[in-house]
Amino acid sequence: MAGSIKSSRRNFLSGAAAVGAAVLSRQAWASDSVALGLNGGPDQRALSSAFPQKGSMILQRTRPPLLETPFEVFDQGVFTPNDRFFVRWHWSVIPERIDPVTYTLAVRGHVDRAQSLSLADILALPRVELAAVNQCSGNSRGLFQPRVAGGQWANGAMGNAKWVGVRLRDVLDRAGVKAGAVAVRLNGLDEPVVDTAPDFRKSLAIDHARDGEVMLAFQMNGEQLPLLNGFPLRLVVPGWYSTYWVKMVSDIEVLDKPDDDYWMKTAYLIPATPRANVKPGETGFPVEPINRMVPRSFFTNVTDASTVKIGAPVSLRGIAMGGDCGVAGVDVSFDKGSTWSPATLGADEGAYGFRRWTAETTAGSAGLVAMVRCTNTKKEVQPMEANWNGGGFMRNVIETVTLAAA
Amino acid sequence: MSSGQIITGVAVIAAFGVLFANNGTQSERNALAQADVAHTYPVPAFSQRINQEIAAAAQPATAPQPAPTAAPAPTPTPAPTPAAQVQQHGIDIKAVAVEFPSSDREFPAGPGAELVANNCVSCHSSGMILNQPTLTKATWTAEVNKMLHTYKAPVAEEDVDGIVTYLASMPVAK
Repeated sequence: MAGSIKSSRRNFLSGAAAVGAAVLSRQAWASDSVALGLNGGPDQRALSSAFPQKGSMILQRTRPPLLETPFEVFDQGVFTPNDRFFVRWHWSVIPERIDPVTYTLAVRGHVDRAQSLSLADILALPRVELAAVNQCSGNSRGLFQPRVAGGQWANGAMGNAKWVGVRLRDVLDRAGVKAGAVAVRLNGLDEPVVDTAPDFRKSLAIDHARDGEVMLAFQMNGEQLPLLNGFPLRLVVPGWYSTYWVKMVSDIEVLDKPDDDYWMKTAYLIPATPRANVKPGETGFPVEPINRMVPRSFFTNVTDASTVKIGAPVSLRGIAMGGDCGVAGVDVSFDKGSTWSPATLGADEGAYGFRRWTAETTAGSAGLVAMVRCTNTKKEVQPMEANWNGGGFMRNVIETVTLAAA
Repeated sequence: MSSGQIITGVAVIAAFGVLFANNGTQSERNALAQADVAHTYPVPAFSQRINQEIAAAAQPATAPQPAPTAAPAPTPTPAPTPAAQVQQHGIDIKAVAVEFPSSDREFPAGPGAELVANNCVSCHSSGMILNQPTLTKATWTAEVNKMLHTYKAPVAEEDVDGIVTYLASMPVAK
């Protein structure tokens, strides 16, 4: 145990949690809770509206905040409202006050002229806009079987927003990237409680960082970002998992050698196998940093708790995402995947965003088992079998709902 | 287990006030107005609004642009001055001041519960533990050792066994 404990905003060590009764009672959960359907439990989570700039959210962890979007929000439209957008932080020392006038962004390292940019400087750069899904690497981890340790999310650790900002390339060009640069590492204002713990930083290969799509966003759905979503500047890495979308970006470092930081070299590694899939207990496979997202699709207007009337028409709808490219098509099946028929796609709001789908069918005497499957423009198709890895990363199995006849 | 009401707290969002700075040369503004929004795909209504904002912002400005300040603050920024706001080309960024809620969720009683309550919430609240599924003793040992040796949690080595024993036998609501 080395290093000192920060006490900049609270006396963390005084916050020892109390010990209570051992009885776990469902009745203890008030109506302001939700069952996530996590096989093996614990299944219940409180719904909380206590977090700043946030509405009702599924409380996965109070400190540092892990807040999941209640799934019914995704039925309201393809863009996720800022006050319902999921929240995930690694370290609990997070500024509670940010002054945009004094906020600065350093650009340094393997560059010609290190910069300290104000937000006014950033706002003066050419603007870009993009719809993109921000999805936690471990979204749906709680649905893994066998279960794995980590944030026990259901499917709501994702959201889609219209992001407005500036190209990371343009910011880098202010400093002038030197020949021989290989990566760009970003850091935000969040810090570990213990100062010797690894500060959360992530990096992108230099060509990725300069691809013209990776941006520093200062607007989300037409508003400044909620503090918990990375105000005032957040990296947007279209098509890649959220771990790269560094929040409260304050420091950009151009590297002339690969990033061997903990968060790139040790954490967020996936099996370098198809769909990051291995058998439980398997060892000896190669690993790589998690990277691009894969196609997914969901039902948003029905759940396993929904019922259908025998012989009555059933309207189904939901959302789909292509991953790191657009949605080519969404298909539905009512015979457990033997045959598939195309769903109707909604407006294309951009390759990296959610796409609405709708489908119609008729309920049989035994109710309805419905499956939905997305194929992306790279012809990748969601699999029938769930992938598994020890990190609980990259779940994208075909979703199924079972609707009882009523 | 306490009730579903497990967190408390208030949120205060402070902001507002005077214009901070809005400027740049006329040619820069013209270039911005013409070439600003690079569409990766069409979003007509949204683009139109942004373009209108930028056009509206392309007015002669009088306030001088402040020089960039020195190094970035290594720690959370100081309290914003009242009225902190940056406005540039149609975008306002206002100061934010909030307060995060805290958790009073309790650990179920049992051997080692006090040890867990006293050691494990320095870096995260109890919900992180209480929301975990049933995990093997080997998995919990690996998790606790990761907390100590990678994340530098202020936990004494001699407490590890007791913590792991509690975690591996912790009741999990199915």
